[in-house]
Amino acid sequence: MNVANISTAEQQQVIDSIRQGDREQLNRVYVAYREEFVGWAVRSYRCSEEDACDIYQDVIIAFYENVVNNKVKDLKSQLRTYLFGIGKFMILNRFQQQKRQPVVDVNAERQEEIDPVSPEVLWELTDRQRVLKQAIDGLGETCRKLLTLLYYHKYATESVMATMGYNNTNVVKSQKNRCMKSLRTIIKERYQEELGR
Amino acid sequence: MSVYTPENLALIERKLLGQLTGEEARTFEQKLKDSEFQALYKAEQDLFQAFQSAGRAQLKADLQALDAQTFVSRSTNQVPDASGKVRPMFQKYAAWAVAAAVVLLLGLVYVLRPQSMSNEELLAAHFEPYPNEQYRIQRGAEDSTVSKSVLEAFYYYDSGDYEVAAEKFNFLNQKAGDQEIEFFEAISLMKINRWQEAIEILTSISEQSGSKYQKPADWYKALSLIGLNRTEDANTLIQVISTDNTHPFQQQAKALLEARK
Repeated sequence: MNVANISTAEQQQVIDSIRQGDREQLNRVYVAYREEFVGWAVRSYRCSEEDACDIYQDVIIAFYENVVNNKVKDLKSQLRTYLFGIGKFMILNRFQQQKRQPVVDVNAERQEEIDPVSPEVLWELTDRQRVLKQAIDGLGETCRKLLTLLYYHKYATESVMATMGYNNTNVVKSQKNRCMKSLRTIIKERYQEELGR
Repeated sequence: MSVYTPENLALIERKLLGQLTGEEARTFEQKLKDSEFQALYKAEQDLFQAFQSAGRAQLKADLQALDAQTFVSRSTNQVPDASGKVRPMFQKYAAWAVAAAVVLLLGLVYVLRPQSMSNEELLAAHFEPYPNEQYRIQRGAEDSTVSKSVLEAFYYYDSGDYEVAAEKFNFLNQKAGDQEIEFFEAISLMKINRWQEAIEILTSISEQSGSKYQKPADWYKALSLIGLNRTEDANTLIQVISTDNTHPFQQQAKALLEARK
């Protein structure tokens, strides 16, 4: 895997590939900025290395979701600046959640001149959504994978067919119907009471 | 009239995926004026959010694995063990590597051992399509509760025209998704050697506890695995069936294991 930073000329191609389901390219982005990000977060905000790494993973997830939801069509800034901007937003947000004042190393921070960028991702689940998530976790591996490809990764039917090794798109459609039916049965049989409250 | 229809669910799905055309968007807005449709939309939105969370959790696990694989090994080549002591990666995993090699070797010996019957021969001897006891076209006795297309699909199944039967069952499943129809679609697919598709269907049925077809689905899945030459996976499943005294295919599983010796 090429771990060098991604040039501005190349970044649009990388984003397009990620949108088309190329996971290697997402991994490449992760590896390219991981050490720099963790070092920056530890230095500038006195985060532990573990926290910095955890936040960086959330940054990459937010970036990925914005790519597949077409919110990163034409990146004006450099990819690195965009990722660090989301990271800064998340770090400050985490301090706020923990009701702590951020410890900022002004010198390190000033050098970076990073503006916080809202990740535009809805992380918190309602109680009802949490119960539904449990129902999804109760599905078999095949169904969970297929439905997640369709609804989270937003794969087209043809891409699901290729990823799951099916022969034609009709199989994807019928398998999807089957899996949704199983899911609705699980919700009805195991979680109706909790959802009814 | 209920708003819980396949058409409305498909429209909401397209809305949530951001795929509505202009015309569909207008239809959607129109329908949203109805309070029942609104409630259905809200319920589907919640389910969609739950999928986002499930997908995110999986992606996070993948990134954690990538991180552990790329950065721990690259920077130090050392990881702490359970007691907190740091040992070289090689030393930590050497025992596992040796164990894996032994398992691989044993597996290879097992796979390469002389077999008494080929997989084709085994299937020819042990694969009997599940009998259709329920849906028969009886002359002079029209059953109005069963749709004509269901009877037609079973007619082709009973006649041994599995290609057409699979197509008809698949069509019915896309409309309704009935487990019984799915089961017979899988058996039809097996008869025309579309093993992988059959396995997908049978796996989803066998994951439904309490279903009439759960245990038969296990047996036919095992046969489909043989069809795909996934002999070891098939053997594991057949072993389980052969030791389950309540399994309707226990005797068949025992006979197949005997034939394998």
